[in-house]
Amino acid sequence: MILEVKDLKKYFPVKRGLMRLNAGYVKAVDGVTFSIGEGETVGLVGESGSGKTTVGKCIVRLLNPTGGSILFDNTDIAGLRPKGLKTYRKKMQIVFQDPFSSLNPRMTISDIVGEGLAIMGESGREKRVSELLETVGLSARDGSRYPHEFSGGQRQRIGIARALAVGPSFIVCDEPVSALDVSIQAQIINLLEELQAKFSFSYLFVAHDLSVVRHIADRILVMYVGKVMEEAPTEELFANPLHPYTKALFSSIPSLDPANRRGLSPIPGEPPSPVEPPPGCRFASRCPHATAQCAEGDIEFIEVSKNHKVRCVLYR
Amino acid sequence: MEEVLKIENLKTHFFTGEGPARAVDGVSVSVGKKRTLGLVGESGCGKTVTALSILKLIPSPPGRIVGGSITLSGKEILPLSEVEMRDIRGKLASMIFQEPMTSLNPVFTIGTQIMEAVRIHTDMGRAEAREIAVEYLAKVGIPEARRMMLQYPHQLSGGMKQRVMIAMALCLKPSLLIADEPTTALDVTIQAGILRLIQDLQAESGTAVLLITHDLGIVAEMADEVAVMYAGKIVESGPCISIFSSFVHPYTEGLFKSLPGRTEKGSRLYTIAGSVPSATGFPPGCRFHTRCPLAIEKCSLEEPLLVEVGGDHRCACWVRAGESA
Amino acid sequence: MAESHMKIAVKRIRKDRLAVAGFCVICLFALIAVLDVVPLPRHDVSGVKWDRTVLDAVFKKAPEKSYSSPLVKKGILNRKEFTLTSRHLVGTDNLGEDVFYNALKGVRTAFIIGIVPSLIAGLFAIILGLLAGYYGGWIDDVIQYVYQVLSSIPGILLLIAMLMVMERGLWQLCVALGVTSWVGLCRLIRGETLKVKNMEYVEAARALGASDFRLLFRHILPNVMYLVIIEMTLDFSALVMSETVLTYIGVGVEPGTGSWGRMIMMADRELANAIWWNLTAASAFLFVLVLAFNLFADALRDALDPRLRGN
Repeated sequence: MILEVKDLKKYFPVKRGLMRLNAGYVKAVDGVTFSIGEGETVGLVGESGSGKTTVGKCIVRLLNPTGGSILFDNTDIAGLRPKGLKTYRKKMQIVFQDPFSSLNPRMTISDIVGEGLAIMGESGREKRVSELLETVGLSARDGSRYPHEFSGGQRQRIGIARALAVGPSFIVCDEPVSALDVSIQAQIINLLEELQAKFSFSYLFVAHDLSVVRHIADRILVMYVGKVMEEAPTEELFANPLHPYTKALFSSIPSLDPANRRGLSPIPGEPPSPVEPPPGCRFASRCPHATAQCAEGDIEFIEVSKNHKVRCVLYR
Repeated sequence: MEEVLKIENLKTHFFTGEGPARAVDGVSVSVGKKRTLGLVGESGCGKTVTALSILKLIPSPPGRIVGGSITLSGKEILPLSEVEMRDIRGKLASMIFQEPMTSLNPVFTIGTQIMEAVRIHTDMGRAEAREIAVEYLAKVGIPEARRMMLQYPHQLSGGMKQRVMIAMALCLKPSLLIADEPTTALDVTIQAGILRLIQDLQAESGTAVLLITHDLGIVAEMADEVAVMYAGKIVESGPCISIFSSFVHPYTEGLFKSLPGRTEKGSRLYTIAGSVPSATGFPPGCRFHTRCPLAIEKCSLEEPLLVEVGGDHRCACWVRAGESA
Repeated sequence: MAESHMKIAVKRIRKDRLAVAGFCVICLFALIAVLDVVPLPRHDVSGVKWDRTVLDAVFKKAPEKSYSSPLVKKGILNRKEFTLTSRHLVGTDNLGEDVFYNALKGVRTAFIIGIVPSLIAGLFAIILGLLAGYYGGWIDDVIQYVYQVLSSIPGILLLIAMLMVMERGLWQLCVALGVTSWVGLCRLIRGETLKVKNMEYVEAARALGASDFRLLFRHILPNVMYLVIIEMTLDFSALVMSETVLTYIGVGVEPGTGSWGRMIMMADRELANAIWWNLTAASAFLFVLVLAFNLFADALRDALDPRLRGN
């Protein structure tokens, strides 16, 4: 296991009033546990407010976890101060969602891609940057140009080259293709898979588009308002979704067959606010199978079959 | 079938420092009463410009509608003056946009905004307008509609805001609703609700819907007819079922083949070579030929015309029309 | 060919003919200022002195006895006419000095007053604005407190107080103006920093292990710099005109330094005697330079503003 996340929590304090007193917490991530093996791609899916992006950012320590542990190569990096993190920055990197704001408009491409190397103080930057640009499908000459001269898909490639520069073994892909057109998405997904085959990366692939995640991930975690609701190998999840939220999620996806329209069946209601959420299961307010049990205390993660876990009283 | 919207050979160009950008260059589509036309394409294909042209909302410099005709419920739109257009916008045809965050004015309550839309076009008093606003808020599924009238946009979620936009767009019972990527910024579970709402309202009042999107899944669920746009032109059009089951144009084929849902897991996704050309530099002949696996010499010389390939299904491609190298 | 932001901005400005004209005028004035900086040796009884500049060599004329109208051959002193030693383009003042020469001497002062206080103010504004916006918390509170107090004191009083403590002089005036005018720009930079620090490219650099220093000066500052440039070009005019006003009320530059302000101040007494050329020359120079800067600054602002960079 290259990465083990145990009971990860991230709370954001809500300050109200004149004296900026604590009025409670936004429990963006509330106890998330999973692990990723070498060369594996784990998909983290959920809608907005599920906390999936926050999980990704906590792992690469762009945010400081409020609780829990993050074991990378058997060292808990959750509490490390910036000095201690320096070695780990080399091993784990992140690719961002928005190609238009993830590159500094005032820097040239070689400066952007080579920044990690500059910070680590490594030499031979120019050569390495040229190699990286070619690896991601651009040309070495592009190094002297500026981000605004490139399209969305090309900018994502640059973002990927930047993440690769320091030689990580684990990469968090935070919705890397959500902002791209379908045909460009395909190019970037292919690139990510090629790179993984070549360099044996492990990916945490955060996304909301289930068909993309289905294609690229070996295992999938489904998050809802800060907690993991279901975890299973990809095909098992799609063949046999257990959690009512997962089922609702799958049924909201339009099919690609106009002759046999599934008919849209939206889930009623809205997700609860992550500020001091209600006790018990967070999906209860919208769940067709909710019972009184669902509001009592924390629901545990139940292993229903090999590697397929659900957080739902229906499976107790 | 009555045609609510009929666009013929529309050309909207933008005149910039780097030469004219022919964003929409000869587009002809039509939508009938109670029907939904899905206008599909990727970014830069000209679909949003087409939508804005219908309501003559093209920013005028640098853009201009340079040719063609648009007919809305029998009325010719292009010769109308700005004053006459204001009468049409919101009443005969309305539009909802992609970003509900920025489409609503943050300093007015949602009730005020809907009432304003009503009172601009009718001579109703405030009380009457208020009733209509409450009625439509309830219709779009906003709970406690009367109380919600007093809420400000920032107090609502994305999905709710989009519902308010739909209420504003439909409260005057327009004949045409233009929906420009209405659910792209929303979660998939909220998306289902919005699309269902549009379908229900359409069934109730017979509105024609022009649905603009890049998402083929939404098109499959909602559209009766589909038109695929590329580089300012329609490359394929026809009944939805026909397009999905037997697409003809190489670009449409490329779009479908790139979908991860249609590819076997583990294998590479199909990609269309190259990238969308910029509107100031379209290649000669067929605009897709530089990226097309089937291109022959004729493709680089002459622009192909839309020809029927079977029962209302049309395609603009020399190779598919039977030409050979 | 790489298209840096500078190139794009230049291209845009070139399209605005008035701005280009303004820029040419600015260059002309700048040339005059430079001529007034380059020293030339002067041979005297006591040896070589370096108190002449190229401008002096070209334009300085021997002083007459007193006032004379533009382009005439005779002047008037105590109701008696006297012959002038040379023709004066815009006449002479009460000391018999060539008015045109005096106006030219004011150009260097104008440029110094227009630019140096901005640089000083810019330094304060950038450092404090970046720190306040980036770190937030108590650092932000302290800096905000400082500039809120500073901006609550009427600027002119603060200036006068400072100038009374320091001696009168061009450089003292620059320092005083700089130290009292950084607040507006600081607020702008703080606001923009708040926005930029949450951009994904800053997060990406943080994920690569960048230090705070690197984030501030390599990532955030270059992206807020456009505000500084715009503000500096807009302030030029205000600063030049404020020197005029300050000299008029008596706290401006010391006598002996070229100053349009002094020329305008003297007009007070002269106009009654129908002596208009001092006032006209100074006002004309001031007006042309300020207008040129305003035209250029507007175009520059539009060219640099990232939000106006639409497609």
